[in-house]
Amino acid sequence: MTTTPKTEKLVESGTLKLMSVLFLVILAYGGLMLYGNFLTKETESLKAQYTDQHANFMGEATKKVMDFQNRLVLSRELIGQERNINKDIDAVRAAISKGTYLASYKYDEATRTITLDCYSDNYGTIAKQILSFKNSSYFSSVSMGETKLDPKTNVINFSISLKIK
Amino acid sequence: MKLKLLLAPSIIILSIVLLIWGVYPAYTNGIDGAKEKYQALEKQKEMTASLLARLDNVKKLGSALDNDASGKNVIFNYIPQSKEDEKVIENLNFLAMKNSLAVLNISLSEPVDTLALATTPANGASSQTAGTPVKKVTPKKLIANFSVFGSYENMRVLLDNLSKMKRFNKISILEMKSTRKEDQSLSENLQMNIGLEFDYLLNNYNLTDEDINNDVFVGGAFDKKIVDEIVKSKNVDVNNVLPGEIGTNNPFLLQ
Repeated sequence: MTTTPKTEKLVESGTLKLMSVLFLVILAYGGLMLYGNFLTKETESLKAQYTDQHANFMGEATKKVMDFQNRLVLSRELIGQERNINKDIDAVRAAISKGTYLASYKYDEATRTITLDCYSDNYGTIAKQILSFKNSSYFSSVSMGETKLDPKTNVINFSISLKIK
Repeated sequence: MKLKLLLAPSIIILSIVLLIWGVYPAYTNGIDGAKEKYQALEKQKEMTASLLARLDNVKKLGSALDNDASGKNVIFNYIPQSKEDEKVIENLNFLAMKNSLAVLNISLSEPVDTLALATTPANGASSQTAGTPVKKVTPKKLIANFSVFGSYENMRVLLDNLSKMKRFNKISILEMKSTRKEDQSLSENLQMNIGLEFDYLLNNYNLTDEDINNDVFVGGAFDKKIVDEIVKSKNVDVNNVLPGEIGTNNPFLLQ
């Protein structure tokens, strides 16, 4: 193979350019390695700072704030659970038919049920009483219990269970 | 010349090899390339900055709390730090007497199933994200069984007083029943048995990493609307108990 000086010059210049590319590749590799180490050190230093501040955060001052915040959140929840029982009694009172009276009134929060032990002088009044509770918008269901007639007094004892809406 | 001609493709191959197996993995390899390290650093910077901001908010909230003694009292009266059973007895007795009702019984108990705080497991610092669900704190309960005797009207006032008491209480059971006189005729007086629940929250909360993202530390302010609500709806004070005279020569004799 014969080469002219011109060809030789072209080959040399091309080789030089390729060498520069290779140098740049090596430089990029080295640069990336150094940058990676720098990033690792920075991250480690920040982690150490985070750990210090984290220990500060877990201190008494935060506990005090958190305790108050918990009480605020809990108060919001509990105030919603409070009920004025007098409203229930008023709803029962408003629906009591003439000729009926209560022997006992029992409210159970777990079932939101009022159980009434009532007295009446005839079955017609009992029927009216049940209808009256059914017509009340305060109760979602009305269940009649057992009735017992006292032959001596002619008074009928009966129980009613009312579910609050 | 032949060598010079071979050098060029060798450099190209070497450059490509270095690029594929050296430079690119050093830039990103999915684990510890410069790109991943940069992302980790940015995440750490963000976490540290947000923690520092939260710490600033803790200081702000601490002084806000110290400067609002009345709001603090409202909340600590509503949910005390201990069961304060002596106050429960004192105040139930006081309210019954105030409303001309005879106290038949006041007894207190604590249910066994409310001994622990219900919390979700703590996450590591690296998994913190804004909007993490808030841990649910469960209060302890003190159950009071309270029985009184007297008129229907006075009992209604007592029930109203209980609903306006500045300490949280909830009626779980209520029983009102008519009574009979000695001649077996109906008495105007009734007997009322009430099952009351008084809640309290011990100051033994254990902070976890989750709390860093609690709304109060993110926002740096307490939402005190509930304080106004309690002030507006509650006007029956919770009296303190005074120790009175103490000490005796014979503890088996009434002084």
